[in-house]
Amino acid sequence: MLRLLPLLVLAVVAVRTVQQQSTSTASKRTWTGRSGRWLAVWLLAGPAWLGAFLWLLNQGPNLVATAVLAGTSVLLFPWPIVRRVLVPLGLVRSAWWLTRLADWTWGADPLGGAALAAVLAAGRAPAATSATAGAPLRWWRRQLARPASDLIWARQRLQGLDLLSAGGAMAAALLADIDGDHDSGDALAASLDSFDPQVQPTAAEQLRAERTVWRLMGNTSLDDAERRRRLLALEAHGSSTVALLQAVARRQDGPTRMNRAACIGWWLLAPRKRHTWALLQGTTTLPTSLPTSTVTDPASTAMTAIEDGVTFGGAARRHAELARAPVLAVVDVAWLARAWERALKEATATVRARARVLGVDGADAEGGLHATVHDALVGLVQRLDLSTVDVATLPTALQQAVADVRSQRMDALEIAVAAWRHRLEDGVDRQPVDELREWTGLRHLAAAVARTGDDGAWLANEASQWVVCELAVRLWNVRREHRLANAIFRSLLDDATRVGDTRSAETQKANVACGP
Amino acid sequence: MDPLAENPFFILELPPTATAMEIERQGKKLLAKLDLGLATAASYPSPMGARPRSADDVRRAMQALSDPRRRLAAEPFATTPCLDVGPEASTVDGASPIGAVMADVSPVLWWRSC
Repeated sequence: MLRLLPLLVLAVVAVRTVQQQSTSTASKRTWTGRSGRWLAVWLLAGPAWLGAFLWLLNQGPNLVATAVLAGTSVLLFPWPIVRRVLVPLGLVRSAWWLTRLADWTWGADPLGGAALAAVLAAGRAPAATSATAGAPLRWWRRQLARPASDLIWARQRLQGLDLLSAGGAMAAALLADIDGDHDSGDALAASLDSFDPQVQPTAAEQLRAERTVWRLMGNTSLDDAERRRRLLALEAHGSSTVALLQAVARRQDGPTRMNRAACIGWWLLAPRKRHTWALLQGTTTLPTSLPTSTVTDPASTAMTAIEDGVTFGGAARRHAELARAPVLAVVDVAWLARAWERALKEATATVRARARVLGVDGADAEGGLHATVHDALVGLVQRLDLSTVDVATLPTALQQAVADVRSQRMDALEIAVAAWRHRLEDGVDRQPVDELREWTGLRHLAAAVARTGDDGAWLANEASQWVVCELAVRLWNVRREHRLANAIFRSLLDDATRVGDTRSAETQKANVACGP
Repeated sequence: MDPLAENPFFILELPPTATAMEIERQGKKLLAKLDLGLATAASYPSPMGARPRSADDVRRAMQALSDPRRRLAAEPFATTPCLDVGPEASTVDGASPIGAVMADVSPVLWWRSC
């Protein structure tokens, strides 16, 4: 069995490679920048590795053969060693240097990959303060403790990155998470979609999929059913960890229940088996019933209760139910807004009578109550996606709440655009990663405006497209940051196509054609 | 102020008919309990589930109810039924729900927050 180990290792590498290459975007990738050095390394180090292994197997322990085996393993499998050894140990500098050898994995983006490995290792290592707390393995923990300088070092590597690409963008997302700014992390991780597939290594997508699952599991506002739905909708991008979680979720799902053997297979492939053992244990028996989403069927609640007459208390009860729901349907909130309109009208006499008792002007009291209900509706609208909804068809109370939310979001977008325009006019350049952060920040604001109605995307596009385009042109022409500029052009093209702006779409098509 | 989650009547656990004297007495009682660190005073039931309660919350609620306009805006919401626990996790016979199974998921991933 031991003699078959080299073949087994090579088979696993081949399977994982095919698995990574078979993901959707991977097929579009070229071999640019990865084939030459990688092939040379494999042709030279591959036989040496195999020879050393067979020598050790047949002749017993030997110092030279062990050294050759260790050295060639580092050359042949740098990325698996970084992910499975250096990153968990928090060895930031080693992770950076070794990832630079990982041509096969990072291809055209070796520095971005190295920065990502450094940030991963910096985030992975236990912080120095917690590691010093009384523990039996104090010495070992001290060795693993993350000195502040490691994080600063990783930050500097990312900050100094030129020719920013998907690896750098993912590193910036994880760094934002370390800083506790998860919203920025989400926006930066989402920017990976805009990079050209040629400069978007599968490893970056894998890490993004794992980060998405990590965010999903940390989202306490979602119930089990919604978590499972979102988990199954994810593309694993060859991540065995995500695939294992999806297999476990499918095992619990009704119509497409996964075979337990498949769960075990994914468990064998996934790292950190001690931690994932509990997941596998959960699949030993099949559930007899499944949790269902707490979101009510929108159609079942529409209008019926209003016709029966809605009291103020009834509307407040429904409002609380919706505010607690993990996912909101527009039709439910529209129903609620109509219920509030009716309830407020019916409560007028009571409010005025009560106002007289308390010595308050009746109109004032009524206005205060309307404002409170309006604010409560604004809270729900913040969570709604109205990007395909004609706001004019919504009840008046809801229209007013949407207008308020849109106005706040447009203000934020316009302020950001004005600041950006001033900076461009002053000719102030920032580091590529900072430009990426600003761009994703602006995109986040524009996306928020786009969720406030079917004309929201058009409004956001009108407000921001030209200043963003100016920056991208400067990044391309003056600063030679072609990959980031291309990603911005691609995003602008998507936006222009979505809102039907043909003139802008033509311009961006020409810009995208310049390549990354 | 959220009329359901942060309604002053819910914070003080009083009905909307409470008089100024009752509000003053209940506020002081809660402040004393919070000062002693009693667990019973550390949270209050609301229509959004149990929520943490601090001395500042109690003071703000007392202040809000002493203003007739703000009291009028809070009163109609104060009859909404409250939950004294958060939304319960759904359970499945024979197997753990995915949330419970994956409760320990973050160490599985390469990434973790600091």
